[in-house]
Amino acid sequence: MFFPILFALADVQADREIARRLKNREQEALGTLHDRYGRLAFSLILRVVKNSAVAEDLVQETFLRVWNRAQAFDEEKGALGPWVLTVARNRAIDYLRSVNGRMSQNMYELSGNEQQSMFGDLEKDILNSDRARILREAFQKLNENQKTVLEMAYFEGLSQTEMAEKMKQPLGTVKTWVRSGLQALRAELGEALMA
Amino acid sequence: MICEELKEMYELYAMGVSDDPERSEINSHLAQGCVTCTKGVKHAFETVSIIGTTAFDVAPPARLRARVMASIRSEPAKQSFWNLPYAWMGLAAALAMVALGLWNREVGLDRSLEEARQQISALSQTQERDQAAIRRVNAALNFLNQPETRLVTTSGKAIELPPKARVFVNAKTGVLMMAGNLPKLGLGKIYEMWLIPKGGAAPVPAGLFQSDETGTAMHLRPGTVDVASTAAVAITVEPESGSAAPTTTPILVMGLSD
Repeated sequence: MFFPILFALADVQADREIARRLKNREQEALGTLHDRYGRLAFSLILRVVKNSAVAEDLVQETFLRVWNRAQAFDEEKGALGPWVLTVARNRAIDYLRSVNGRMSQNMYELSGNEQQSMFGDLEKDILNSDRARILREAFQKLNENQKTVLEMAYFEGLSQTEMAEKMKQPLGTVKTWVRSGLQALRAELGEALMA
Repeated sequence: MICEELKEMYELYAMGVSDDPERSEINSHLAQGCVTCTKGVKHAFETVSIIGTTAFDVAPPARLRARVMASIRSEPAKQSFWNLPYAWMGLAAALAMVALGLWNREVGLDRSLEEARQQISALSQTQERDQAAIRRVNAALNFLNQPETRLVTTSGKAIELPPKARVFVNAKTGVLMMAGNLPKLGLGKIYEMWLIPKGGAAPVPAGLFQSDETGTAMHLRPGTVDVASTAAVAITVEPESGSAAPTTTPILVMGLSD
């Protein structure tokens, strides 16, 4: 059973201020960022690597990476929370792949999806929005197969081909589960999110 | 491929797990400034970010914040610019430089700067990855090389392929456990290590870990250990979020007095 993470209410203005201070190389801003998103990053990474000591290492790497890349972040356009979350997930998936000896063709793409431009124009407080609540509830309503494949994609970084091998299922079956799962999420979110 | 065929793949693309040819096609559409795909992929990033928040909520240890801050402490602390000597003179000089720069700016300059920025970014990523790997290896080697570290061995009681583990204890830096033949766990389960105090006091949680597909695992619980008052190290199977006290019979118990 899942319990959606409860965030401290993100203040968009505060996020913007944190981003500005990070760009100004104010070290305490990183502490503030950790206070706001550290628990979320730790929970996500722990879910991926299932080892608390490794998760601590990777949270540290995540925030160091954010610190080193803050100069490129546009606080007026970007959504800080989703960016931190993406960096955290990428660190965890990279670790998983290195441990499993699984050098993925998607390695470049993982780093590519941290490009700040991808987070421009996102709703700034998306993680706390009504749409986030609707999607989290919709996720729990998926059937077991749909939920399993989407979790394998997000939390294990597996492609559909890799999922099919791991689950010993035909690729077409896995693709159907992925497609129907995503369609169900989109249907719950409605046109408001996808339009 | 047309956008209509690609839209089913936007979320997988945003997760970095899409297969070819769709991945290359989306890359191509984005590179060409395709409005439909750009909008769709950004929506997909929203969806994907929210999926990340369905993970179990686990509080990180309090020490983690200090570790994060320590990782950037080597940089000199930033002072307010306006408190620096000659700040205003500097500002005037900087403005003059900017004006001069604008005057001399050429189209090629932007491109060169962008290329340089990308090269620095690539180097920085490689360096971070290498440093992380070196940190982990160094931590394990330092632990094993310290004279206080000692080896504890034991085996479980299962008749066939019993779980086995070796535990290294260092009073100053922690407990390192290396296990083999661990049974495969079902969904939602995880191994948890415990320090069992002498005298019947409650076991102390010492971290969560998973075994790999061959049933082997390595887990380090960093920090000091009161060896004199610790009777054993134990491993149990727990719910994925871990437990404050063991909820199952240990599959391995390793006495420190062995």
